[in-house]
Amino acid sequence: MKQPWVSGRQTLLERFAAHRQIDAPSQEAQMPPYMESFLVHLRLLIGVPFDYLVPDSRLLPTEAIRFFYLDRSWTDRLVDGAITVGKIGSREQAHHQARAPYVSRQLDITERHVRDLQRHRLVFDDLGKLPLPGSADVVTGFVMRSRVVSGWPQMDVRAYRFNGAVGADNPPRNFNPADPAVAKRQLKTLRLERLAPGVMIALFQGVPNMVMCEEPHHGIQFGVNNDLGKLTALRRDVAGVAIANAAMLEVPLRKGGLRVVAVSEMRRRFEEARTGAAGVPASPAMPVQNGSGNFAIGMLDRPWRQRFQGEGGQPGYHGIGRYVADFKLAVKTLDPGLPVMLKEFGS
Amino acid sequence: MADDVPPPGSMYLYDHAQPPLRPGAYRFEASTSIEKSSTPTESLSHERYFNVEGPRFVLNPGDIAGVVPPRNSQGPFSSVLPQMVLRRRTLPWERVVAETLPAPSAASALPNQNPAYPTPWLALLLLAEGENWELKPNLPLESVLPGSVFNAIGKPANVLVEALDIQRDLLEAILPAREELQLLSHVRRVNAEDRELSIEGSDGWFSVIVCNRLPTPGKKCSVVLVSLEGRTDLLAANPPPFVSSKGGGLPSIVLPFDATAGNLRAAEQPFVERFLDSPPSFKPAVPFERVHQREEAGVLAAITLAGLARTKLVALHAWNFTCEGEGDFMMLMQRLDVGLIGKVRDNKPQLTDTGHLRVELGTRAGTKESALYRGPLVPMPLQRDPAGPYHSADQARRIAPELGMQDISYACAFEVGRLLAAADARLAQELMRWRRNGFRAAARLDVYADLEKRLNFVIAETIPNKLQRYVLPMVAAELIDRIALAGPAVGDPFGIKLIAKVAGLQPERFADAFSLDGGIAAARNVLLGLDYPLGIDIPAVADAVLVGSSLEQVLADGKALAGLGNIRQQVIANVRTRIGAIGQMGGATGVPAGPAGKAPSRGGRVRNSAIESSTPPKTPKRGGKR
Repeated sequence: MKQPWVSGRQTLLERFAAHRQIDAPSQEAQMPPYMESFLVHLRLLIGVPFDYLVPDSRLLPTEAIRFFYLDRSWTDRLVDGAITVGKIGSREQAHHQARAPYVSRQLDITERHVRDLQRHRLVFDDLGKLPLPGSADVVTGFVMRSRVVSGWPQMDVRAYRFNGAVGADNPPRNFNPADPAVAKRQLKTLRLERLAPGVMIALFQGVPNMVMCEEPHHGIQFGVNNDLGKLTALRRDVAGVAIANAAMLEVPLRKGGLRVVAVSEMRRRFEEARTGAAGVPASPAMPVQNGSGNFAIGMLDRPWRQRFQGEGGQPGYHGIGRYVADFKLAVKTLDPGLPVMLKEFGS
Repeated sequence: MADDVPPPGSMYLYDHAQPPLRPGAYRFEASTSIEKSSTPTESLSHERYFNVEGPRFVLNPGDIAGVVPPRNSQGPFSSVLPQMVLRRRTLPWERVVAETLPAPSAASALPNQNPAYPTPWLALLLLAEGENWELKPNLPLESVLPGSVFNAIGKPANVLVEALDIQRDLLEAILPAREELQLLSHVRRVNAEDRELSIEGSDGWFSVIVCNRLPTPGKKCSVVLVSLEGRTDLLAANPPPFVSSKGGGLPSIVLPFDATAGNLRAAEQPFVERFLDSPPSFKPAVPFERVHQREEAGVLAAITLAGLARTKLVALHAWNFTCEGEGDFMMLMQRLDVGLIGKVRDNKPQLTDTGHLRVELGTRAGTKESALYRGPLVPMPLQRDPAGPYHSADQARRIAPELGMQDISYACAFEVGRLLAAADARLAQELMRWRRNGFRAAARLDVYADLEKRLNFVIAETIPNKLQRYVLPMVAAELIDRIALAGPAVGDPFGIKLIAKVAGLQPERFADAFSLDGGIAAARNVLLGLDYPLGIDIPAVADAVLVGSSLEQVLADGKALAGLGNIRQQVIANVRTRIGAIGQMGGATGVPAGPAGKAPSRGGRVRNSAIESSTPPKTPKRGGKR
């Protein structure tokens, strides 16, 4: 072969010398990032007025949850409509027509990352570096209008596709979401957002046969058992699991009848129950009462986990709620160095 | 820093999280001293001031991650302690009640307790309706705090706060003691993976302040977050006495400070000062001096007065709930009406089997008609419409044949998308940019296609490369390459050998083609009886490397040019002879005779050979190509 007339180096020099004549390097085939980001948010109905999602308020009454499939044709039209802006002639139409398959394919890929974008886990420009999965395919979800949404913000919502028919024991009671066998059955959450203080929308990739809402962990409270006017607390081990066959502890109240819990005395009783005393059997599995973290283990109520299960496309979602038994709490409080480490944070 | 996130379904609890710097004004001093052997030591120093700020008298609602029981809710909350969740994990420990607090008595202190355990400055007070308290907005801070406390926290000027004005003995009955305060605040770290978005985007860390009082069933309750900064006058070292909860239905009226002498003193001491500071409503009726006398008169009088006395605290936040009915998380969740979208009560609104809703539509003609609409949430899996893209909403209108009605669902979607996009100025710009780039790319590709067509070659480059490089060098390089490759070999600049290779002039091929009986000899006879097709054997000239490649150098090579000229002359002469022998072709007019030696000087050819000669090693390859 002949030597080329213009070498790469020369070209580079030439470009530097006369940079004004050259456009900024742009991949003409790609959508501008802002545009792609806008369209992909539209794909997940972000910004679409609620009246268009639920055209009649009776379709989503108060204290109701409605599951649905997402009509992908509808969202495609949404994107078509958005691209129409500034389309004044046949030239723009031809341009759109030629690129529509590409646009559609690209949005199918990026729509999985919208939630990460919304949570600022990702910057849009970094999307290109991620491995490209295929299309998100079938998208499902639910809308919920309830006092639960406003009253217990940031509850945990997970959707699963378990093998076989789901029932009371499939998945097993109180399963651990962190278990790899369970985690791999979890469907990707594409969107989880409150549309109004009392209305929540969730979108999942795939058809779940079990959806679960768990009471927000940061909101779970100190609770006592009310046993015919006698207030009691369970003995719990360091992970927050109630110790079986152990006597309940009576909760002391301050004098005065104002139902004020004698917190300090309560802790003394927890400690006494751990070490054992006259008439009080010892439960060594209980945490050492050395601070508010371990005190909280004894007092915290467990979060409630609500299951919705059934087969998609068929009526008959029904709720089977379960308490979360092995809700893990407090391995960390036993580490004496922790408060110190936190103190040093940021210095 | 523990940076491991709790696994899904779990959370971590921490006793407390203290900030590296407490809010306040700080001075930052940097100094360096320079020592040189000959001169005296020189020292440089620099000072900077900075403030660390944090919530003090008002809590920004954005700092609150949640309150339980929920604001204005109703439910069976009588067995749970209300709590407030804060987004800042260090907030409860950012300020102090006082630098040193009285230690609790040995009886209540626990062996495992760290003596340096910090005490939070925030407390939650649960107050039921009908109790003697009131929230008062916009009070100057100095009228809320006693003088000594106001001085102790640095006399912040011109601060208006919301104050909790509360009966003194009620406050003492419910306010946690120092050790209880410590137990009622902790830090939680939760897994934030599977929860809905909030504006602030939580990192999973929260601090929690728990109230120590259980709500009374059937009552409307308020929970007030109060600041205890500097309130050594209120905070007791030891908790008040307790009873068991069993049978604790009827309250026995026990005044809070009848337990120990220490508490009595604590109640007594600030009494006068408090009285002076914030005069209660009965001041006109009870002159100042008489209060002193009553106090001296006996404990009973002091108790009475203290019972009526009120105190104020800075209230940072408050919310209400009612403790009745059923409405906790579990109840609400269990009672949700569950179904696929389209499940309606009493068949209202009426939906088609496909989930479409009848809506009123104002047509272009100005008339009203019924149309069908269905949102993007549908009760059954649907095929994705393969037609598209659509360029106007009308394209997406459909007729439902069974009902004879228009289905405007997709047309609505189209219009919503268009309106949303039109509302975003930046998107319109980006769309224009996208199109402009597209048009520009298309124009460039058109130019390439045209060039390739006209010049009959293919630029072997990917489209992005074509779009981003210069056209001219690429085409020019291609053209030069072709010119160079298209010419005859160096040793045969006029292509004579090439002509001689024409099949019709080869005796062997000729004989084969016409199946001549006489074989090659007969063919040769037919082909004018010559040994060689052109009547002359042209020896191949070995390619020679020319040192230079300029036109002058080529022209100066007289010997080579003369040799080539001779060959040409000979060929022309032969052809002329043969044409003459046939005698039918009109003689000399067929091929013009040119002067020998002139032909090679014709510009194009000479330049051609000059270029060829400049790359001698390529020559054999070129032969092979042909």
